[in-house]
Amino acid sequence: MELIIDITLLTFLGITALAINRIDKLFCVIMLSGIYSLLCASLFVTMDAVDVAFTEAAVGTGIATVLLLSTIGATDTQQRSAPRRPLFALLVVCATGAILIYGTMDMPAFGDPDAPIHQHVAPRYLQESQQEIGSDNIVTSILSSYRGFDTLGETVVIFTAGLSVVGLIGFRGMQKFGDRQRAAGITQDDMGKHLVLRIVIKMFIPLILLFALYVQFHGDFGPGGGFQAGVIFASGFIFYTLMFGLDAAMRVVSPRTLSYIAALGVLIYGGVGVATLLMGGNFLDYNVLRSNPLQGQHLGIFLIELGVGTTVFSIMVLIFFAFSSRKGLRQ
Amino acid sequence: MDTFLAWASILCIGTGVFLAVTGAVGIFRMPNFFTRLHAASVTDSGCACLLLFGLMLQSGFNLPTIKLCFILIFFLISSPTAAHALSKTALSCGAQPTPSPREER
Amino acid sequence: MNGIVELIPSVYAGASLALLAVMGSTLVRAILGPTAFDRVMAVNMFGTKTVLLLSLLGFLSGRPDFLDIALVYALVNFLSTIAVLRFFEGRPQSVQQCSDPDVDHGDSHDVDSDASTPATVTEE
Repeated sequence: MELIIDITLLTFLGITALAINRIDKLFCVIMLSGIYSLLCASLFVTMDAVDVAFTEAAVGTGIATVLLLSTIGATDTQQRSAPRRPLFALLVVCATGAILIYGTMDMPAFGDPDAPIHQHVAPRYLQESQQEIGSDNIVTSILSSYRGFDTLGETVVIFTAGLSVVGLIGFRGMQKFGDRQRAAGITQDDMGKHLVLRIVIKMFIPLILLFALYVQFHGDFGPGGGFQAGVIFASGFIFYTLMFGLDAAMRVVSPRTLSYIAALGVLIYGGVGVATLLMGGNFLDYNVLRSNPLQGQHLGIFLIELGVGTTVFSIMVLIFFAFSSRKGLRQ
Repeated sequence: MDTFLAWASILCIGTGVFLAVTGAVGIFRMPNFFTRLHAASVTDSGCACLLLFGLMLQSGFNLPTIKLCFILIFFLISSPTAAHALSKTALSCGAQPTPSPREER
Repeated sequence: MNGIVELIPSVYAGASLALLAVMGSTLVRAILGPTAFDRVMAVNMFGTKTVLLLSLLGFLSGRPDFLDIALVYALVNFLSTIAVLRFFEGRPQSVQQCSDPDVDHGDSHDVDSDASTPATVTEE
């Protein structure tokens, strides 16, 4: 049964990818890439990678679509030049593909218990993380405790990516937004135009934020954690921006504040590491935070997930603001 | 009691799936965008509600049921709103609600 | 008496397969178009069906964890639909560009017609 579902989903994935390649209307491509991400996440779910599916769900369909739309809003809705079909490139791609497929021949079968990946550290993670970390969700224990240093790297990568996007795109004419919108009468006009949408979204935003907090603090026990929660929290803000305009959203939280919050998240994460060093442990060794190692782990994971969530949230909103302050969604 | 719940949930899931299939047929058979939207959105809401309700009957009173309940409420509100907003935007962008002669079968 | 209760998993399985079929036809609609709004509608419907499929799979494999993902999907799907609509609202003229041309030759490459109408987006 699972096999049939897997095969069908994979077929759909292939069809979508081919269609994305064939179609030169960028809007259509964006819609299809939304479907692509939905299919990917469904496949992750059937393969039991629930946390990955969660991230794909939160990022791929929502924020990616919004950002891509802002991009074609600022540029063009058509693919410019029809790509030429050079034979050489095709040959290179085919050869690389063949080599890669040949490489997979040596790989152990999917789910093979004798595979090297299941021999090295995985048994310890699976069998002893309950005693060592005390978290029900093994993914969370690996992500934030065993591999805490990697996750710190990922958080810094997100932080840097956000900074570079803002540095490249910037906020053009940020101070003049209020004046411009008020002069154009946009807010007045919208009030009557989207009554249903406004009321519904006003109702939803608190629920979305609440759900994001649930995902943030429930990461120890179920799928979820800082990354996903940050993105969902940001989705709430994006909803608000879409409905009430960039100006109103920037009055709620300004880009300057957001950049401070983003830095604060990384600071919390690094600070936990430094604190463990000062208390006599290794970097990011949460056992020393409390007298009881399990409680220490719990506190450490809680704090760093908070740091990750804060950074991801503010960077996502910052990138969205930067995109839509160009000729993005609203202007 | 179990048997009754099983029958009820099978009935709900079956009707939901039937609605989903009708919707899929509808988005192919209907002549223009607004009729297609009608087919899609009506069956979408109905199908989602019935299916989720059928699952709720099966799961008993626990956390999954509450989550299903949230999804159900979310769908009940968001799906008609999306259809409403979609048709409104289509209308304001110049789509014609009545089929043009060329589109009529 | 007990037969009907044991039937439940196969009902889940059958419903999942039917939903997959519906998703397939929705995918075709999203690829074919013809108007931009048809595509938005198809993506929205596809998202709904994915949410339902995930809920069913969660019950089929006995892991209701999946419901969290279904919940996120329901939410995010709505977000992307609204974003698309707001996108079109700002620029009604771009609906034509995003839809297939009214003539019958589908969505094949007519590069010439693109080159003749480049000004619509930049003039905003």
